[in-house]
Amino acid sequence: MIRGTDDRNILDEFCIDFCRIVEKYCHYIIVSGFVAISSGRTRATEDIDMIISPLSVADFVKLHNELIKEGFACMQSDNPAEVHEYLVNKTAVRYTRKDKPLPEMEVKFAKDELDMLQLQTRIKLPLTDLDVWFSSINMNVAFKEELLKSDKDLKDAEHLRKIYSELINEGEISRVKAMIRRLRL
Amino acid sequence: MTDEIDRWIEYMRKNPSTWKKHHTEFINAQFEKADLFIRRLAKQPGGKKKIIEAYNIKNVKGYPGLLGD
Repeated sequence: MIRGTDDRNILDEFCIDFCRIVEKYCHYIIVSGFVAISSGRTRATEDIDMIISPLSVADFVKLHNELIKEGFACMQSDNPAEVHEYLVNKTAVRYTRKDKPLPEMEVKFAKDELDMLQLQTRIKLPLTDLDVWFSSINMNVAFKEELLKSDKDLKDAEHLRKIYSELINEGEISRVKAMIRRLRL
Repeated sequence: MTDEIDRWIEYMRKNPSTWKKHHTEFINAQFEKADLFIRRLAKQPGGKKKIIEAYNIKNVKGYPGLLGD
């Protein structure tokens, strides 16, 4: 039996602190590499990828201001309206802890039905010992195998398939892959 | 597909109470080494400019302790 422990690493703490603020304002999911890393995969990364439900400027300003108050900084701008503009234009924005360029939280607005589906089907993964929301294992596997496809991504997918074999649903993975081909390729 | 994945998962299964400690040390080492390097670089002539370019920092004011005068 593989189980998590209380032994939190720098990425875990960064993720928990960031998510604790974001969840007050919107739905979010952690996607891609950190899903695998927090599930025991040993590889390097500089960032955690997050998708959030789209926010109005007014609501985003509140979120941004709380992040800054709690010791985070946005690499693109101090001006929350400007940061919001990046997000609306489908550009990811990057937050770090103040005065520490690494690690980064790369944040995007959900941009299409695939992202909305990921938000709707988000899950918690007790094995990670992190009380944060993740995109489902089947979604992550589908994105890594159908869209991202780098050696690193394929190994992440393989790791997730083996660690979460009980959650793997080939039918669902195939359906998501078909959506990826229709919407992203 | 890859032996390294299988080997590590096998290690996790056989060492359920200790694998996370090794994993944590591995993850933390990356950031601790990078942080030490960045702070050393910031003290070099032109070092702050290199950090701004390497990490594509547009909001220099957001990093006053590292990039300020």
